[in-house]
Amino acid sequence: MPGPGLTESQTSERLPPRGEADPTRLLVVAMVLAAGFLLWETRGQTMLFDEWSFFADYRGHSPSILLNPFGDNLEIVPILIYKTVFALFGPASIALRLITVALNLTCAGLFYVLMRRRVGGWIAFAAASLLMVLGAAADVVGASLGIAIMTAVACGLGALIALERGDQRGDRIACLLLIGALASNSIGLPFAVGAAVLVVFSGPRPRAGRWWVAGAPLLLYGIWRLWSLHLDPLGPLAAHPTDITLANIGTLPTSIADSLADAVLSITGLYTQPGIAARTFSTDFGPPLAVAVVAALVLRIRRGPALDRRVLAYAAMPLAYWAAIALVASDRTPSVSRYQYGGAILLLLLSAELARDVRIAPRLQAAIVAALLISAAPNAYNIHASSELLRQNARMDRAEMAAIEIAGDRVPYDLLVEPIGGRFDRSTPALFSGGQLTPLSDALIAAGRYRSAVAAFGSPAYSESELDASPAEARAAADAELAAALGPHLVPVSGPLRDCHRRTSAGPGTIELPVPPGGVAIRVAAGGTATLSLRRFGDSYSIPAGTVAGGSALELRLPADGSSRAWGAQLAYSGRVEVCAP
Amino acid sequence: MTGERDPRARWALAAVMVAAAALLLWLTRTETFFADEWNFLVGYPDWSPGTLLHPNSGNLIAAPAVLYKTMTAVFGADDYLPFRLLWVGLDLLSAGLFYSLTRRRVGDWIALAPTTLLLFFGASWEVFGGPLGITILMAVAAGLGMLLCLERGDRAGDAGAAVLLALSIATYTIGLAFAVGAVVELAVGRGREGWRRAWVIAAPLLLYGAWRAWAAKYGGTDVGFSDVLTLPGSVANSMAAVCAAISGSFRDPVNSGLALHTEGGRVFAVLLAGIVVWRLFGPAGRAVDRRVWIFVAMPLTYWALIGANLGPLRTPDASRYLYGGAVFVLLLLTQLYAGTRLGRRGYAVLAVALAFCLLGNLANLRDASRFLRDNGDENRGELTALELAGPGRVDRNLLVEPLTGAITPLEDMAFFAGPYFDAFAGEPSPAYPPAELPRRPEHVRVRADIELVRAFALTPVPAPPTAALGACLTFAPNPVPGTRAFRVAPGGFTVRGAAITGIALRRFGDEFAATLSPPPPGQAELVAIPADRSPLPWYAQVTTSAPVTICPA
Repeated sequence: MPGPGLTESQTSERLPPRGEADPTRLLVVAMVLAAGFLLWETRGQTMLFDEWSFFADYRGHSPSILLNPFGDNLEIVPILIYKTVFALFGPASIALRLITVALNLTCAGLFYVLMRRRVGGWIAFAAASLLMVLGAAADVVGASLGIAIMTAVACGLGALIALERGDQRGDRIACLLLIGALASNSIGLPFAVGAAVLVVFSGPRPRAGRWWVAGAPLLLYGIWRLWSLHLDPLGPLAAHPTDITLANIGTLPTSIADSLADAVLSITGLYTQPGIAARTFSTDFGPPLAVAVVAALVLRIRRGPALDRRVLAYAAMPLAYWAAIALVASDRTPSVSRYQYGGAILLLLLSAELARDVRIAPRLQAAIVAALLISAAPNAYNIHASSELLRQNARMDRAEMAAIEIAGDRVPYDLLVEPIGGRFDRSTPALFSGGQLTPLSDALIAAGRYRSAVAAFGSPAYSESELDASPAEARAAADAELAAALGPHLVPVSGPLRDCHRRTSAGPGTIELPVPPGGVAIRVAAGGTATLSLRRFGDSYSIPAGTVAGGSALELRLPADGSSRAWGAQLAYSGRVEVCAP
Repeated sequence: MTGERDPRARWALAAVMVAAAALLLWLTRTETFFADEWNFLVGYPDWSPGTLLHPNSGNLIAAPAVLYKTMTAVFGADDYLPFRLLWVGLDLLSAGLFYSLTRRRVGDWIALAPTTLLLFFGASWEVFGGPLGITILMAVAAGLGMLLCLERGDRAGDAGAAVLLALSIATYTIGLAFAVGAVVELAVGRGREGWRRAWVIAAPLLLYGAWRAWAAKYGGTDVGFSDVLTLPGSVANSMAAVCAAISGSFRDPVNSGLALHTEGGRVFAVLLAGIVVWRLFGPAGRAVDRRVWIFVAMPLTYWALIGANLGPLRTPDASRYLYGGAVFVLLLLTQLYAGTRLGRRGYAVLAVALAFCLLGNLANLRDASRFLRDNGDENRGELTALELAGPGRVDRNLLVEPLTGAITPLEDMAFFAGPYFDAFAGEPSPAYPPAELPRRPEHVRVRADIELVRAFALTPVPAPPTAALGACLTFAPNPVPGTRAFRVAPGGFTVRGAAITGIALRRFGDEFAATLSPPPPGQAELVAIPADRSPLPWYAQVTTSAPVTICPA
């Protein structure tokens, strides 16, 4: 028996009024425009965060590699996608961007289908158009990093559509797609939960015999989860153990409320800060908007027509998703960019399900369509602002990778290419602070593994000529990487000095000199001092090599590497110094 | 579009207006010109069209420029009272016009509540703290008058509307929001007839467009790509700021001050948006007069204009933007609830709500006027110092108040000394008479000392070898470092020491607040101080860690 206010599920679909235009063709136009916009905005990007790990750490095809959790996610489908792309096209191709855009359009198309059945074509069109440029989730829609999440969402949306067929074929397809969703990213879980609720509470056939539609994928996922507990993480990026604590459980209501607020902000575009031309996620308007959404929900339940039982499934999905975010480690805050994509989709689907049997007056429909399309503007702008930052970061990454390749065998195998809080000021990563770019510590991979992956798939790094032509901050990053890889420093002289040139300065003085292949030695007379700094590709002498005290002599020997470019040195000294060949 | 009529309400409005006028005049006692008003006095040196039409931060402000020049010519700049009276008059006029518009919709008594709030709208302290608000009040009054004229629906009304719209646009950019309201009025109000009346709007807008094209060479607007794309966020922030201002929830509950807090305003903004959506699209939506779109269009246009041209001093919550926003929001609400009748309980709720809204606004009026009185006092002290130095000695390019980024004292006199002297050559100026300065409070005298040192460009320079070193005093600090204060002989002094770390001067103030750069060690340095119209002597203070010799110049 249906519960109070709930009715047995119908397969009703909102049909357009007679004479109303079908916006499907317009959606295709919007898709073409969105594809062009996104391909343009993602130009100049390279791999980011997880993708570096897929490139360098997830090597081989054994089950322990493919099924190894990435930050507690089962991501075998995206890992296989990346492996295929790396093998066929290399890591620097446009293929990843094309796949990202294709997945984005697929999600939008499937979302459109689900929305149209509930709220009609025009609102569905506007919502799908917004979804394609949902800049609040710029890490997902504006970078190939989003492949895993969008693969899972596409499978999840496809599963919901398949379930709505209400036949055995639909069930089988839904089951396979749910497996695909769960094997792509943990955002597949809420879709599986939603599917389970749909099967249990709705549907035209006896439900007991359909448990496997969602049960089998969830069972497989559970088995994988238990099995994967014994696996060691593949690299520092992949290591992010789930940390469900009592504190996290205690803050569940708050976190869910925050997630709801953030989803509303993403949909309305009200997360932008006036006058700030960088990507930000201001939650100022979140709480009142969340309260307004809850008030609208209460109003809908009390005043509107009886709800279809399917609403339970569509309510379960965002709740499951936000609860999952709340329960894992506390550094995964609800306002993080990658959570906005799923949050917005699931909230819009719930809203559409609630509005299924509500008569939407044409004026209100026009207002909703206008609001969603207007919201696309700040969201698209956020993709633009985010892409600027990602391109800057890519220039740094590619320069650092070039330095690793130049240093060759001399780089310690386990040297992290970009350690957190490392050679630059990486304490405030730009992507999350919204401020000016400081190089992001996204390439947390071992240099040795990187070099091995380059040998297998090709290089994403700058060539030396590209490095020479790159911006000053990228060349400085390459110098810093070389310094970390080679560790140039002054050591006691090992033999007699020759070809000495003497300099004397009563006060502070500086000398700039190229470092010859054999190195350079510095002798300082008693009472003086000399400090040596180096550069190679950068404009400034940013690599400290050491200080020579008065009355002593030290030498610098630089190993040969993959570049013929000479090192430059700057000697800041006082007193009498001699620069010699060692 | 009818409301309850009751002649007693007008008497009540008159009483509130009298109270508002008295309060505003009393609060602004001893104030002087502030911020953009200085620009009217100094930055518009003649009556040529090129000068009067010159944009101010991208705004056409020809009408207030003419007004200020006329007022200054008639009353002089030494008397601020005429400006204060005009400002209060415009507040009353604007409120009266607002009342006329809203009483037609919600009745005499309900309309009294928002009108009363607008009369004391302290959240918008740049408008209600003093006559700086003349510009915005004039533009709003003209715009409201235009709406009233349009509602007449006859030729005389149309002619009046065209003139008032032109005046509003020529006064401040908020006039454009009224123009959009007028466009919607003609579009939704009377069908085909509306197009025949299009000249009412077209003429002022064409004139504005011509001005805009002409003024493009001056720049000043900064419409940004990112600002336009993120308009929803800035419009929402503007709405939140206005809602905070109307509700009186903008004050910091712990610290006094003029900063606007919009946390509560965001809640009210979402509530307002919900009310608007419910009234427009809810079950009763069809019953709402189509003219409501006029009152939807005006605030959205206004906030979009603000949001498209953001800058460090042009944020959505800037206090000068709040008055216009509040007028538009209150007009929208009264239009949405046109025809509403209240019972006794309803009026009681309305009275309590009004009292709640007034509390914060009245407190802000008090704080703003206090701040502006102090600031005005300091401004007049600085100008007195400038005039004591005289046009012959002061660098014409000296910025009267340098922009240091400090909040207090506010650097609102951002003009150069040369144009100031030109503007008031032979005319009464806002400065104090020199004899008045010693009687002002210490903070004013300190500002005067600092300004005088800047005006004379006092700084130690190497003393000529021929400088007479008679009647010198030697000071050996113990313990070190130590300070020695002394009266400066006419003409200045020379100073020599191995470790002088600071030299400071005072004249009108009790505090050595005007600091000079310390001289190099061991070198005799001259601090030459020119004579001026004040007989008061200078005092100096030297801070040193080694013996120092000080001699009259």
